[in-house]
Amino acid sequence: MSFNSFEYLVFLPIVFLIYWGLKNYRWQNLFIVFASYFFYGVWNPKFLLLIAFTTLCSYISGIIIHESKNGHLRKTLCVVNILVNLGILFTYKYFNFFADSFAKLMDGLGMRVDNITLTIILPVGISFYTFQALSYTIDVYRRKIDATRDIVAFFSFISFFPQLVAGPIERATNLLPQFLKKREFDYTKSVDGLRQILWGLFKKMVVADNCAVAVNIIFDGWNGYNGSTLLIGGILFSFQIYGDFSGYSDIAIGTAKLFGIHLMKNFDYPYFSRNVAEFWKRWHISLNTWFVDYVYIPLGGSRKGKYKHIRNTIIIFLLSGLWHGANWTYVVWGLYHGLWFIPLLLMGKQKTNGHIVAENKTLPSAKELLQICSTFIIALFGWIIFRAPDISTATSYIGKIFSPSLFNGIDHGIGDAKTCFIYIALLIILEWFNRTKEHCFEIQEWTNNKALRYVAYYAIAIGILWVAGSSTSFIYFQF
Amino acid sequence: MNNDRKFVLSAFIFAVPFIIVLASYFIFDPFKALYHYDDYYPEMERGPELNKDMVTTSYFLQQQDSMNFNSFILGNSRSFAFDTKEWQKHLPQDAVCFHFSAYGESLYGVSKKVGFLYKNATLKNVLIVWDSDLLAMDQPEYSRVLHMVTPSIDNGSWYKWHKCFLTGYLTPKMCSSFLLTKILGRVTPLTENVIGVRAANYEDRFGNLTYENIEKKIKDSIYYTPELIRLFQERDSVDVTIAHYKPQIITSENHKNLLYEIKKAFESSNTAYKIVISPMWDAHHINPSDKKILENIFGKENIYDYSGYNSYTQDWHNYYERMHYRIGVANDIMNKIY
Repeated sequence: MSFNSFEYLVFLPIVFLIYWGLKNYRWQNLFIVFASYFFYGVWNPKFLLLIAFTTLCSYISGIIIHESKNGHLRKTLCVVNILVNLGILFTYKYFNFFADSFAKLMDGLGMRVDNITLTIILPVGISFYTFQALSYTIDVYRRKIDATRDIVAFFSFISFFPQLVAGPIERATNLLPQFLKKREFDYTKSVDGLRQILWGLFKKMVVADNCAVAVNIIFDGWNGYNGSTLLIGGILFSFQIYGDFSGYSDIAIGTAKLFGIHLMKNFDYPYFSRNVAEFWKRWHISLNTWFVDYVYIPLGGSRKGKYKHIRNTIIIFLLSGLWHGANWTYVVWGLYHGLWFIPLLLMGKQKTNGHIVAENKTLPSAKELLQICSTFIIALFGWIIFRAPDISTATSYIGKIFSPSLFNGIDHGIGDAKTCFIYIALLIILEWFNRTKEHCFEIQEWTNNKALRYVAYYAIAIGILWVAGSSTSFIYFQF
Repeated sequence: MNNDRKFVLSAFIFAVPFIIVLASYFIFDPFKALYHYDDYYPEMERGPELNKDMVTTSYFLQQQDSMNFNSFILGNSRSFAFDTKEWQKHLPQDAVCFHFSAYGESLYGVSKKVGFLYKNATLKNVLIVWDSDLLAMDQPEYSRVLHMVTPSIDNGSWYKWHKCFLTGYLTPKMCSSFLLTKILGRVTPLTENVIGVRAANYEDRFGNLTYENIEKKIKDSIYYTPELIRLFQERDSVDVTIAHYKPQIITSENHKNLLYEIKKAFESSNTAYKIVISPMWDAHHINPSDKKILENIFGKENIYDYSGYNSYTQDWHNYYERMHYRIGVANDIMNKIY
């Protein structure tokens, strides 16, 4: 079930009441597993076995790796577990893609091969929970965390429903310990959780779903539109994917707060980044840090010379792109960002901009504004590649933007793009003035008057429902 | 008070207005989907438009035992121009007619209705009125309140059926318009786009729609406003005397399977049937490939193609608006095909 569905509106309060009605944390964990498997099973009950298998594999291998003193055995088991999990991921997500690409490559070389593809349905969230399970196994191997024998707590960690299907990809070091101890109900955190859910729903239902209408029209019929319209399409998609994905993360984090669980931040106002390096510290943080910790650093990171530093950087950008899906557009999107990142790396500027933009100031300086805009433009063209069905379309789409038709008027019949820009402007304003905060609906800071706060809550909730676009599924569910 | 109880109480208090709105759905049943009704259109009742598929199915089930309907008009809203009383004149004396239509009827819906009628009635005479819009839709619809097929017909999901009505009601525009109308007892400019007087157009419990009011306005020369005429004239930007064709619709196996299901039921029941391709104002011909498929399945002699530019589509006076032709056109078509 989706977070913005009627079913979730019924599901969440019931789960919340039962959860806090169980005073023992072990019963709470068991209930969380039950509720999470129900939540996941609504998508497709057949895939419950798959997630259970992944979880069990990681649980058992974690214990053996932890207990064993034999370094060789530990390493072997860790590798086997990684291969099993990645093998499952590869089969469900990438088999047809690579089979098809291989067949086309052979065809291009004049050698015809039978294209063997499987009829496979992609399990929702497989990329997310697989990576989460892998992080546990690797962290146990590295002795960063002890393996747990509490199987229920472990199942809770992997399947925790708020972050199961679209992240954040949690680390065992953060999330697992929370399931191994008593949780105390925190009124303030729970209320804040509800506010964060509301904020996430605003981004998803108002910004993302409304932009989606025009985006689909423009991208589906791109060949018949002017460059100006295509540019509008790119801008709208940039905010659609941001509203959609960050909105989901906010709802997930807010929901977790209701259960006394803290999830990591996944987005940190990425469109206020001043360069590509900063963008990748603020966009899908959980995935990027995963690749840094489990791919980049083991490959040597920046410690093995400039050439390998660049190589390792490109590898994680390519893998990050490939993680998103079985299409060359995602790989090229990753490479595109990698190529923008490399100059910063060579100039030693990839680690700057650790502080918040316009810190302690109301508005950005002209330089900062230029940096923000140029970074957004870089991201925008990356999103066009990401959204396009194939490389050829992406190239032609971008090519048409840079044609004289860029200066033609915007085409008619592309949906209500003007209203979308109003919502985007509202999003940007709210985010700008709350960029130091976790989310933008910390309404307790707007007024001390409880009645006024309730008025604000009602106004926001009804406003969201009133202007919400046609419900679309969360984009990142397909990953 | 414990913090968790304080939270639950606060959340409950916040949710009270939403709970009241939710309760109003079950109390007032705005779409008449929850409870049984003998009459779905009591005089001058105001409310949101009803799912016509549900209404006609209910009327059919209520009356079938007593009436033994054996002759059916099927189709989308274009079929409303075909009145069962007029149709009866062309049928044998033992024909008992029922108009089993729906808004936005789909090929899926027609196929499932034929299957339902095959089991629950005698399919003696059938008149199907369709067009490319109807043919295009070969899947069940659960996202639009007015266009769903009743689960009684297709054994579909009752959960999805009721959920669609509930979520359709729970939109701010719908529930605020409905509740405001209930409180004030009248439709206001704020609510008139959502809430109307239902009984205006419905005549009887045989599924027929009456255009009496509109026909009177046409007779009194007050119906065709300059705005309406302008909308008709938008077609002038295209030379419709040159043949234009709709894109091919019947492309999938599922499409063909649904058509074969209809044919099989007709064959088993020895049904006398005719299929009318509506004369749509856009004057586009049905795709020749689609027409060939229909003729192969149902027989050329049973397909009556009035699409394209012809005596009906050349004059906007034959239409109420761009999507629906007048009862005179339907009567004339029936005179020709029977």
